Amino acid sequence: MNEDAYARKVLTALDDSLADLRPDVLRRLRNAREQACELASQHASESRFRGMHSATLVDWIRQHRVGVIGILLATLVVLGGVMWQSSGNNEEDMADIDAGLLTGDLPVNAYLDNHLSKWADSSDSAN
Amino acid sequence: MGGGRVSATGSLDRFLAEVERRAYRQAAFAVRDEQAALDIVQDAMMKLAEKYADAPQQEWPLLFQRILQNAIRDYYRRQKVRNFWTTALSFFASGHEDQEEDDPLEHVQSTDERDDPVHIISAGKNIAMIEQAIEKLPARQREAFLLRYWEELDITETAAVMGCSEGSVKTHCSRAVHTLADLLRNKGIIDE
Repeated sequence: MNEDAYARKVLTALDDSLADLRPDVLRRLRNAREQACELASQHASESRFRGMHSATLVDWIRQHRVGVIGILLATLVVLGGVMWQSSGNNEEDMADIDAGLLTGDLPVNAYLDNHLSKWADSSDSAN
Repeated sequence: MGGGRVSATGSLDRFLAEVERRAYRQAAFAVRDEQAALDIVQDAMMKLAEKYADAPQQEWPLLFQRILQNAIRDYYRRQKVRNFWTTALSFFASGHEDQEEDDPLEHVQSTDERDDPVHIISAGKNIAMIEQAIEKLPARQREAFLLRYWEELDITETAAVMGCSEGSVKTHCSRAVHTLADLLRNKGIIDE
């Protein structure tokens, strides 16, 4: 017995019966199929929406590559300038202090002497 | 991009339209209940759409069959639990002497009532007999037979869907064909 041939003969007869399914059965199958396709469509939209949002920033950067590089360079220049400026000010301040110390009436050691500080505080409070 | 989505949904629609009737018949052979069979097919369609709509389309037939067979097995499990509780409750409700009348196997055997000649003639003689013969096959033989020959899965794919070895698939198929041949020969249709 050729099993394959026999099985196909049986199932050919069964295939023919598929055309005779009742209308209410066919309607339910169609409804189920439509619901499934709708669900698949919703899932596809959701995943596309998520993908769009994650890709937006990357796409924008790619499109405005030159502008982005320009902005980054300008920011670096400004930051460098501010740092250079602030370091220059510190040096000037130190120079002023040194000049004040050297041109003052008191010797430099007087500013480091705790006794002098106490004496200055007490004379302030006495006045 | 939108066009691609529409065509993907269209492909899914075409695929489901192609397999839905056979899927329904498979489920109906297995569970012998039209409404339950329709529910099973609907569940299988929804699961395929929800989880595998993005999968390559050539994988859909195997995935759908796997989902469908799992849904049928889930139905069997639920029925088993339901039958257990129904039997247990009726045992307590009607007393010990009635327990043999509620043997679940009797309900399974009751489909033999369809051998009634009047029913066979009204439903389309040969096809009804073939359907009955397929219904009478043991579950695993029927599953292997329908997957292998009706869904045209190869032996490896059938084994993957059924969760058994390729040798078991061959054995189930062979036994199913011989049993069918005996049943149909006895009814005088489809000679070898």
